[in-house]
Amino acid sequence: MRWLRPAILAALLAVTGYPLVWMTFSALRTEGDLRAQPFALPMRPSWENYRAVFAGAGFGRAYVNSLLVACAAVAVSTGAAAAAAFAFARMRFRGREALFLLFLAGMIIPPHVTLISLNRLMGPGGLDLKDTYLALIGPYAGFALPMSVLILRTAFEEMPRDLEDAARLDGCGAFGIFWHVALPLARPALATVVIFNALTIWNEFAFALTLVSDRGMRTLPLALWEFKGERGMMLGQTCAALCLAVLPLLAVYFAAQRQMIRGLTAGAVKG
Amino acid sequence: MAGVSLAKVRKTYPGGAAAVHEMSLEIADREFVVLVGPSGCGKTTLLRMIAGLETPTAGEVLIGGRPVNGVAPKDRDIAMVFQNYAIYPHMTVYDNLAFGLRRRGVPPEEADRRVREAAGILGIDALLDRRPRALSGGQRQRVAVGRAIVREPKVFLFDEPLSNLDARLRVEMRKEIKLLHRRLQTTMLYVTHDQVEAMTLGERVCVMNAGRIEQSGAPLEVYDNPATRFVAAFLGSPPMNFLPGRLRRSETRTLFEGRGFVLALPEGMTVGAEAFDLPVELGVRPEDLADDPQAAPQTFIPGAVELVEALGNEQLVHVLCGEARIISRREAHLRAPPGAAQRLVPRPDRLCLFRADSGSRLDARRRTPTP
Repeated sequence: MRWLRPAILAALLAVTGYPLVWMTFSALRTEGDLRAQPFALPMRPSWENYRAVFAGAGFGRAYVNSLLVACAAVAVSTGAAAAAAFAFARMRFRGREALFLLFLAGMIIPPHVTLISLNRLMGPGGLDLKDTYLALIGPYAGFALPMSVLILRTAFEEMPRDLEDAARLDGCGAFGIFWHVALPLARPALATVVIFNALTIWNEFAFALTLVSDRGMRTLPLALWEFKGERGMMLGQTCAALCLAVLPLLAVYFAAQRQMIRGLTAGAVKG
Repeated sequence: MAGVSLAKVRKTYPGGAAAVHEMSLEIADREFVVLVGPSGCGKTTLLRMIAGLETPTAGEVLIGGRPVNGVAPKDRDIAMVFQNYAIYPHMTVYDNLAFGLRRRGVPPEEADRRVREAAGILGIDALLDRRPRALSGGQRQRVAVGRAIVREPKVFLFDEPLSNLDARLRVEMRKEIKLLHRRLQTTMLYVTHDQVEAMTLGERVCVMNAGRIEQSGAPLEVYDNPATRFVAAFLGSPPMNFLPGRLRRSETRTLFEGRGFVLALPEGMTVGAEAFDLPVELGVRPEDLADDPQAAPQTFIPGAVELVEALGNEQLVHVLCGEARIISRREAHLRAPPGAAQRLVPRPDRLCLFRADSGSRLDARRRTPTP
C-alpha cells in the first residue's frame, strides 16, 4: 500500500488548497467575468479589485488595527505563558498542580459564554475600555493562555535536569535559566504557540464585534464582513481583501516553522 | 585551592528514603578522591550536595574551611562535569565555555584568554565555532571538561564523566583527566561505578555502599586489604572468589572446612574465638590461585575446569568446586582443558576471611601488598 499515503495526502491538499487557489485567482478577475464563469482561470489578470479594496473606507485602518492587536496579544500571551509554564515545569511550590489545573480549566470555558460579562466589564461603569486596543488585547491574550501554558510546560519539562544544574553552576538564577537556556531550547514549542495564537487572534470576530463599535477601531474580520453588508457581496473585492488578510499569517507561519524543525536539542546530552 | 569536608552529612528524600547516611569525609587540598560504588549507593547525591544542587537533610559541607550549606552553587567556587555532558545545545563551543564567565562578569578579554587556553589544553581549538550537535561524544565531553576548567575553580566535581564514551575513548580520557589533575593541581572529586577508573585515577578511593562509605584509602591498599566482603567483591575484575564454610581448630592449625575440602589456614592468620561459631566466607583473588598437581593435602581447593576464557595476555580459568565456581587468572600459555582436575593452591599470605552474615572482615592480619 505504498501509494495509499501519498494519495491521501494529495486528496487532503486538494481539499484544503483549492479554495485558496480559487480565492487568489478570483481576486484577479473582474466582477462581471467572475459572475459569468466562477471557476475559470484569470486569462487577463486585473489589479482592479485590490485598488477598490484600498479605495473603500477603512480597510487599511482595519489592517493596521489587526496587526497591532494581534502582535500585542500574541506577545503578551506567549510571554506570560512561557513564564508561567516554566514555573509549572521547573519550580516547586505549594499548590503548583492545583494552580496548573486551574489554568487548564480555562480551556473548557467557551469564550463566547463570557461575551456578555466581558461587554459589561469593558463598558462604562466597568473598566471603560471599549473602543480601545486594550479591550481586545486583554481577552485575546487571556484566552490564549491555557493552551499556550500546556504546550510550553511540556516543552520545558523535556529540558534535561543536567542542563539546568549546569546553568546554576554557571551562575544563573531561575530567571537566567529561563532566559538563557530554557527559552532558546523551547523554540519549536514557542513557534507552535505563536502560530496557533496568531491564527486564532487574527481571525477572531465575535469579541471584536462586541467590544468595538468605533469604525476607526475595527479589526480585519469586521472590515471583511462589511464587504458583504455594504456592497451586496462584491466577490472579486472580497477575494482580494481575503488574499491581503492571509498574508501576515503566511509570514508568521514561514518565519516560525523553520524553528519548528525538530532535533534542536540534539547534542545537549548523550545520544 | 581548597579542601572539602563533610561533617555528618545526611540526605533523606521526602518519603523517607535515605540516599546518604550520616557521613563524614575529609578531602585534602589538591587531592584526587574517587567515590566508587554501585548505582544507587548515594555517590552522586553526595557530589550534588557538595555542588549545592541538593540540600543536605543534616550535617555540614565545608569548602576551603568555609561552611557552604546556605551558599548558592554558583558562589561555591566549584565546577562540575556531568555524565550527560550537559553542554548548551543552542550555543557554539566557544559560547558554552564562555557562558559561565560572562554570567560572572569576567571582562571579555580575560574570558577570551581563558577560553582559548582551556581549548588549547583539551585540543578543541578548532571546534570553537561548532555547535554541540556537530561534535562526537568524546569532543562533547572535552567541551564539558573545558567549561569546568575556564572557571578556574577551587574544586572540580566529576559525575561519571566517562560512562557514555566507548571503551577506547574512555581509556584516552581517563589518562587526560589524570594529566589534567597533575597540571592544574586542584582538588578533584570523581564519582564513578567503574572500578577500573577508581583504581587508576584516584590518589584515594572511597568505596560506597547503600549510603555509607565502606572503606577509604589508597587504591592498592583498599584492593589488598578490603575491610568488608562488599569492598572485596566490588574492586577487582573478575571479582574476588568467595567460598562458604566454617572454621575448626586442630591441634596445631586453624582449618577452613569448605564444601568438600579442608584447607589449613596459614599460621600468621589470626582469628578471634567468636569466628569459630559462625558461618564464614573465605576470599581469594583470581590472581592468587595457582594449579599445583603435587599440592599436599589441606593446602589446595579441588575442582575441575569448566571453561577457559583466553584474553591473549592471560586467561581466566573457571573451575567448578562442588557447587562453587572459582575463577583463576593465569598466564596465557598454561594449558587447562575443560574437565581437567585442578588443585588450586591459594597464596597463603593473600587470603581473607569474612563473616557470612554481615560481610565484615574476620582475620586481623593485613595481606601483603600486590606484588
